[in-house]
Amino acid sequence: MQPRQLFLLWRMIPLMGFLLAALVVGIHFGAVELSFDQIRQSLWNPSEVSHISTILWQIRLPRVLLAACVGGGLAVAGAAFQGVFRNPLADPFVIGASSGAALGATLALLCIAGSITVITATWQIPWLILSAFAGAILVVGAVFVIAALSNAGRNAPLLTLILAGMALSSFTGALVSLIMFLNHEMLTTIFSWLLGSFSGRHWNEIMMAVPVIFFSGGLLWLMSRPLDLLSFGDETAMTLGLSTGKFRVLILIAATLCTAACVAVSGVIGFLGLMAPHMTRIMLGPRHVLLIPGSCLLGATLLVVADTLARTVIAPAEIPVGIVTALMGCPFFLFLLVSRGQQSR
Amino acid sequence: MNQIEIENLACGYPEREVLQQVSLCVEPGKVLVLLGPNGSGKTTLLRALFNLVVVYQGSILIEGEAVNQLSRKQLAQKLALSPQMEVPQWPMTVEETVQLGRSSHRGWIQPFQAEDKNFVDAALAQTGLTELRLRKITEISGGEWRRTLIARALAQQTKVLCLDEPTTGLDLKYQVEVLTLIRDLAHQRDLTVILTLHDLNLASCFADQIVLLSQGRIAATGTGEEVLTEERLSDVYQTKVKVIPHPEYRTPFIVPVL
Repeated sequence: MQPRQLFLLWRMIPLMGFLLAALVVGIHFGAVELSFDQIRQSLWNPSEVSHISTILWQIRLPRVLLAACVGGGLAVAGAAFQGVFRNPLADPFVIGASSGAALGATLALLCIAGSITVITATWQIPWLILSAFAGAILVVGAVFVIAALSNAGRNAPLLTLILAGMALSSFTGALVSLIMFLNHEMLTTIFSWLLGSFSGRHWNEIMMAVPVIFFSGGLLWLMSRPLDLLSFGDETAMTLGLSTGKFRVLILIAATLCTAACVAVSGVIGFLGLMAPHMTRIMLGPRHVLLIPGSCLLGATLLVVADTLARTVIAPAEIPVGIVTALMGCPFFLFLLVSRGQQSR
Repeated sequence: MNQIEIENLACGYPEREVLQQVSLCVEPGKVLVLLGPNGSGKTTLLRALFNLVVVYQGSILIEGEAVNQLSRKQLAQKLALSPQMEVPQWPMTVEETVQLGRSSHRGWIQPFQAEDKNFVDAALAQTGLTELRLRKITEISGGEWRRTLIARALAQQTKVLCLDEPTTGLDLKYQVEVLTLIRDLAHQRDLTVILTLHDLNLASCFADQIVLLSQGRIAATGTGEEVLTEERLSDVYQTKVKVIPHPEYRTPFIVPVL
């Protein structure tokens, strides 16, 4: 058994290679191109004060690392939601985390713009992040409560969760639209947040989001076998010894925390959490012990690449990264689906 | 001691009581077959053993312990179920699926051990799946999937094995092989086997004890000869039948009369 587990880890190595390459490329490209020599020198001497060093340490590195963490976090949350809902269409936003975060962020932006003076300039960003995080948690929490109260929930808990999530998402989405409609001058600010971006993100965001993403992502990895069991349906999981209710709640909470932390620092980045687990499943198979770390690495790689494209394609301007993930992701994903279908025929 | 004791059980679903006044003892080393028309409560009775239905009245004891007092994990170490219907969602391999039968013997984060691998290998061999172990469960035939579910239950290494229509979707060869395997396991390793069947003749050949259910109650229980009589079957199934002796074993052989 031991060598076999080493073998499993070994299968992660190509994905680690991809991520490393993406990180280097992400640091290299930008408004100012950093040569690989410059990157190496400046990485080895962090105390050195220079133009290059500032760009690397204050702009490029935090941004690329944050993109990697958010990509990994969204992909892990996506894999967990797909597993727990037994549904290949599930993504990190399936039970309302994105719309909740959007509402939280919109309200925060409104407060900041409306110069509610309690918030000083240094606290604006943490305030935005925390209210997006709180919004996501509150909406998903409300979805849980509604599903638990519902009579139908006892027979079809998963379906009820998804339906309640859809209904509340529409509701909060309508509230966000209403706020945007009533505040024309805020339209661009809110809208660009909703589309997702890493523009202007620094170590602050990393410090706030990364511990949550690592903790919840790690917890989900530990839940690999319960996730495998749940993929055969509730009753089978129970007869194989799993207390499904307890584990499902734990997994949903961890995946929601992970999603909320990602959305709070980056906005709503669609499609990645759906796509990365599927691609990983094609490469490494469906067992969650491989799927979760694999999705994490692949999601991180994809988002770093997407963010690099987002800030270079029409430089010096930037495209919101959420647009890039959807534009690049959908065709590639469809190609994978079609080519895989032909292989198995 | 009886492996399983059911006393005056009434159970079912929140809106509907399916079984009433069911009392039953199952001894180790015996194959018990549940028979009855569609909707007579066979599957509900199996599910009751796994604490998956609402119990209105009565009790179910396994090795002297009430099933609703045991944790899921403890229950899974005593009882294994090969379900009637299960849809594979992700393309796991046959071996990975069977391996999950070992889950209740390990912590949730503990890797599977060499011992688990031996049980998995044995279960695969017993169900004739050794060659197919690396095939994806989304790409195998219905019969192979059925055998995978049986192998997963075998890998659980429990004293009690429950199978919900294990022969559905299998061709004659595997119907006989699976039932022979189950009977041998029961007799040689002292397992208690409870299964539901639709085929009265297979039941007659393989059962040590038959429980005939009708509209949620036990209509008769005993050996094949005792339970499978012309009058009773015609009544319970509301179809005219003739019972003749099996040409080899002299067990009851049931043929419909049109």
